[in-house]
Amino acid sequence: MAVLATHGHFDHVGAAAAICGEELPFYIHEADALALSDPEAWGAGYEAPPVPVKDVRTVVDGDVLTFAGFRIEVLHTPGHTPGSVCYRTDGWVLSGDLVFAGAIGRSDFPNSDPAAMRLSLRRFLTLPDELPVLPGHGPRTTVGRERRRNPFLVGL
Amino acid sequence: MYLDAFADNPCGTNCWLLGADGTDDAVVVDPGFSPDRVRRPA
Repeated sequence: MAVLATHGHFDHVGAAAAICGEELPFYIHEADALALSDPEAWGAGYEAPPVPVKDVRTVVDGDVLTFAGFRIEVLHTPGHTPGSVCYRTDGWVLSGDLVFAGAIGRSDFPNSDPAAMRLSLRRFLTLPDELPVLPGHGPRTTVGRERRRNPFLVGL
Repeated sequence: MYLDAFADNPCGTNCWLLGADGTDDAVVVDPGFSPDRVRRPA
């Protein structure tokens, strides 16, 4: 079993320590790892307690993880947070808070970067239309559906 | 492949649980809430 985070916001990592316990590693992009130990210094912009995960393993763009029969590629897609990532396999992409069905993630937190967000959204649009998207909030969608209908992706 | 999502939390954040058919192994993505909802192997 492996436990992964798409980014360091507390609503995505808050239960990581309880789930990982002593034995399970927790994977998060290197630019968001500070969110676990010092959310304020990381720049969350809201009050959140530390998440004391024992075994934190950082990832970077292009890393490939193999778990549970999946080959999972790390796509660094910063903007919402510095270390936001998408996790992609041949069968789906976990988009975290980059893209939702009909919307996108916020890029107005203290450590957000709207320009990086725009580039990350363009990268998302290079994925194949038929690829299912499992977002951080809301229902599943596909890359093609968002390319056609998501108003935040039009014109990128 | 099996796929499950838990989003019954104040932020509506999806915790994804994914695994290949025929295995006990799983990947948990974004465990923000409700650790009791994530079924851990013995």
